[in-house]
Amino acid sequence: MKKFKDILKSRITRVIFCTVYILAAAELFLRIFNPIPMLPRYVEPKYYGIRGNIGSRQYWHITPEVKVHMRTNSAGIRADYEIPYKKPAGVKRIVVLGDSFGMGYEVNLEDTFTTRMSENLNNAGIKCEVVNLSSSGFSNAEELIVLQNEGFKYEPDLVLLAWHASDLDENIRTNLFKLEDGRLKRNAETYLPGARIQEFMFRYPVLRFITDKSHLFNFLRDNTGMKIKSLLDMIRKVESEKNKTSNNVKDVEVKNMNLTVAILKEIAVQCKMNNCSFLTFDIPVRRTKTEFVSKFPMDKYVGETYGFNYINPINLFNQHNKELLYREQGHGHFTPLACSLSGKIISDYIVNNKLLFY
Amino acid sequence: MIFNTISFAVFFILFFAIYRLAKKQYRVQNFLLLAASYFFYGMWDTRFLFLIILSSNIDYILGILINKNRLTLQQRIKTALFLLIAWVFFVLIQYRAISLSFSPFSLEVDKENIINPLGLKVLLFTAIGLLTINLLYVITESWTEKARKRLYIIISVVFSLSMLGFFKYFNFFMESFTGMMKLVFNYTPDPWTLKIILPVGISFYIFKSISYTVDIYRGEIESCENLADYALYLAFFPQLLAGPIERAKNIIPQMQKMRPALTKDSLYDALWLISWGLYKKVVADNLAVVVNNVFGPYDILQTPVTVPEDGLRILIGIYAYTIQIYCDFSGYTDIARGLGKLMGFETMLNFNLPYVSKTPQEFWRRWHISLSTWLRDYLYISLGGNRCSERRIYINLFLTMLLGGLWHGASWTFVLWGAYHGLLLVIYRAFNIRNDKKQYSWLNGALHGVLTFNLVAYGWLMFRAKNMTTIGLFTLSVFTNPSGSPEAWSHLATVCRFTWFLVLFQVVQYYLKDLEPVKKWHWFIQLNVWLFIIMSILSFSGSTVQEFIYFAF
Repeated sequence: MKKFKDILKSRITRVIFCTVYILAAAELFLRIFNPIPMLPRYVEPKYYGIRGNIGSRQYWHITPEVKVHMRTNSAGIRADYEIPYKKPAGVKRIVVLGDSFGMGYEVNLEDTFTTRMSENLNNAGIKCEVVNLSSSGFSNAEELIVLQNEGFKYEPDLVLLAWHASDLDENIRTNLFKLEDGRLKRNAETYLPGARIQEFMFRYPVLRFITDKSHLFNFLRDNTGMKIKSLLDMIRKVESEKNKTSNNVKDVEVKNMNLTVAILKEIAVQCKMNNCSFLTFDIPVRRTKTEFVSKFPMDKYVGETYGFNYINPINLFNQHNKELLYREQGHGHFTPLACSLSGKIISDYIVNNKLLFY
Repeated sequence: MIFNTISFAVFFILFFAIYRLAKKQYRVQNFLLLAASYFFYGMWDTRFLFLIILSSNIDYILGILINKNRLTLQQRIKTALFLLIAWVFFVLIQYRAISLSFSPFSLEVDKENIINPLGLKVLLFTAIGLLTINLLYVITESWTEKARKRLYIIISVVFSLSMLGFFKYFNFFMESFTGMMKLVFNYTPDPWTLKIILPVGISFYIFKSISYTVDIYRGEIESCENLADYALYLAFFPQLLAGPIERAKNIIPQMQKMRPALTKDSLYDALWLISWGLYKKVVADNLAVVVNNVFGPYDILQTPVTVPEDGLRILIGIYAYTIQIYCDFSGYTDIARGLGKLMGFETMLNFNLPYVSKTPQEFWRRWHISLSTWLRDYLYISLGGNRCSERRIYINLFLTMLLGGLWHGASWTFVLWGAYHGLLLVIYRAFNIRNDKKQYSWLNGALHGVLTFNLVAYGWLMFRAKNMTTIGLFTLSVFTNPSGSPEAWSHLATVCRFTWFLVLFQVVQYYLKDLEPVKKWHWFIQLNVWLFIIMSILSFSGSTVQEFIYFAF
C-alpha cells in the first residue's frame, strides 16, 4: 500500500511538473521563436446587447513592430479626455464608427487617422471634435446599433464609418439583422462573443495578468477564435445550401453584400433623419505589399440614389506603395503613414463637400 | 482532403475508431479501408475513382492470367459487377444534379443533367476492353504458356502506360509536335489538344500496378486472388496521392492477415512519424514564401527579361527550394508511413537523409527510394542494367534518369532535370567516384558531400523553374552577379529561422545512424523535442493550407 502511494505520489508529481513545464516552455517557445502580437481587447456587454469598450482603462498593445499605449475614457471611447453628450457651441462633431482600424489599433492615439483628420480640419478653420465609437471586432450591424443607442446622443454633424471588407462576413455572422423580402429586420437581440469569458478573466488579477502578458494565452485565444469563426461559417454555408438559397460561393457573396448594403442604407437613412451627413471611408484590402483593392459593394449607389458619400484612399496608397502602409508583424493595421494619408483624404473630402454643414 | 487539414483529422479519427472496432476481422478492416480510400479520393473528384477501379480490375485479371493462366467464372462475374457498380456510381450519375436536404427531408433531381453524356462511351470502352481480354484468353488457349504470359504482360503494361500517357502526356506531346513542325518546317498545324484534367496520384498507382504484374511475370510473387485486396493495394489512402510506390510483395501479404496489435511502442512510432511529417510540412510551407518570392516573378515570363542583379538572393532561393521539396515530400511520406503504422501496416522507407550523400548514386539510394528502386527494377534492369558493355550501361543510366524526369511531369524542364541527373551518374561512374568509405578521409568525404549537395540543388533549379529561360537567367545570376541585397539577407534569415532545428536533428540522425532516435533518449529530452515539434506545427502553420508539391505529379 505504501509502495502504491509512493508510485501514485511520484506520478502525480511528475504530471504536475510536466504540465507546468509544458506551459512554461510553450510560453518561452513563442516568446523566442514566434512572438505573438499582444493586442488585448477590453470589451464588456453593453445595455443594448452588444460588446463595447470598457471605460477608463489603460493597457498596452505590443507587437514585434510597435508598443502602443491604449486608453479609454469613462464612456469607453479611445480618447484622453471626457466627452459629454452635449455638443459645445461652435464645435462640429464627427462620430466615427468602425472596428479595430477605426479605433486605431497598432498606432498611438496622436497617429490615428481620426486624429489626423481632426487636426487637418482644425487647421482648415473648422473647429471639430471626434467621438470615436469604434470597437475592435465590430461589424456594420453592431455599428448601426451603437449609432442608434449612443452615437446620436452626441449630436453629430457627420457620421464617418470606417468600412472594412471583413464586414461583409461579420454582418452575417453576428445574426443581429436579416433581410426579409428585401427589408432589413432586427433578428437576434444580442451578440456577445466571448464577452462572458472575458468578464470572468478580468475578475481575477492573475487571469487578467495572463490575458495581458501571456503569449501562449493570446495565441490559443486567437487561434480558437479563428477556428470557431471558420466553423460557424461552414455551418452557415451548409444551412444556406440546405435552404437552397445559396448553391455556390457566388450566391453566398451576393447574400453577404445585400445585407451589408441594407445596413449601410439604414445608417444613411438614420443620419438623414438626425440631420447629419454620412461618409463611408473604405479601408483598402492589401492583396500584396504594393497592391490594394476595394471590396466595397456599393459603388453603383454611391452619391446617387441613397445620398452616400464614399471615399477610398487606393490611388493615394498606390503613390506610396514603396513605403510601409500596413503593419507587417502585427495584425496588419494601418501604419502612421497610412493613417496620415487617410486623414488627409477624408478631411479634404469633408471640406470640399461641406459635409459638416448639413 | 489533405493530411494537414482539420477535415482530414476528423475523417481519420472517425475512420480509425470504426477500424479499431473490427480489429479481429481483418477482411472487414480491408473492406473499411477500401471504402475509406475511395471516399478519400472521391473527395477530390468522384469521376476519376472509376480510373483506379478500372486499373484495379484489369490488372487483377491479367495478374491471375499471367500467374495461373486461368480465370474462373466467379472471378469474371466479380470484376464485371465491380466495374458496373463503379460505372453507375462514379461515371453515369452526375451528383451535382442531385440536391438533398435532411430537415425537412427533400430530394430533388435535375433530370436533364443527372446522366453523364460520356457515360455510355466509357461503358462501351470498358466492355470492349474486357471482351478483348476474354477473347484473347480463348484465342490463345493453344499457345505456349510462355507466349501467353508475354502477351498478357504486354497488354498490362501497354494499358497502364496508355492511361498515364493519355492523362498526363497527351497535350505535352501534341504541343511539342506542333512546336517542332513550326521550328523545322515553318508550318503550324492546327493545335489538337484536349481539355484533360490530370487525375491526382495517377503516376503513383499506375507504377504500383505495373510493378505488380511485372513481379508476377518474373515469378517473384503470386497473383492476388482476392479482388478487394488488390483494389486496396492500389487505392490504400495514405499512399494514394503521393506514394511511396509500395511493392505488392511487401504490402499485399500484410493485407491478407490479422494486423499486429497496436502496442505502446508502435503507437509512439506512428505518432512520431505523423508529427515529424507535419513539422516538415510546416517548414516547407514557410520556405515556400522565400521560394515563391524568388521564382514567382519568372513563372510567367514577361519581356524583357533581365538577369537578376543579386545572385545571392537567387542562390538562397535555390537552397530554400532544395529544403522545401525535401521537407514537403518526405513530410508527406512520413505522415503516410505513420498512418499506415497506426492501421497495422509497415510501409517502405522513402527518404533516408538524402542530403548527406557523397555522390549522386548515393543520393538516389536515399531520395524517393520507392521511385528510384522502381526505375532500377523495372526500367534499368529491363534495358540491360549492368550486364552489358560500359557504353551501353551509360546509355541505360542516362535513359532511366531521363524517363524518371519525365515521370515527374509533362514539361521539358523535367526532361532536362532527368537528363542532368543521368549525366551526373554517367560522369561519376566514368571517373569511378564511388561512395566507398575507405576511399575518403573525413575532410574528403565532407567536401564530396558539399559538392553533391550543390549539384543536387542545381538540379532542383531545373525542377522548380517553369521555363528554360529562368534556368539560364538564374545560372547567369548566381555565377556572374553573386552580390547580396537586403532582400537576400531577409530570405537567409527566414531560411535559418525555419530550418535550424531540422538540420540539427538530421545531423544527429546521421551520426547516430538512427532515423528515429528520440524514443531512446531521456524522457525530459523527449518532452522538449515533442514540445518543440508540436509548438512549431501549431504556431508556424499558415492560415491557408498548401497542397503537397508531389500531388502535381
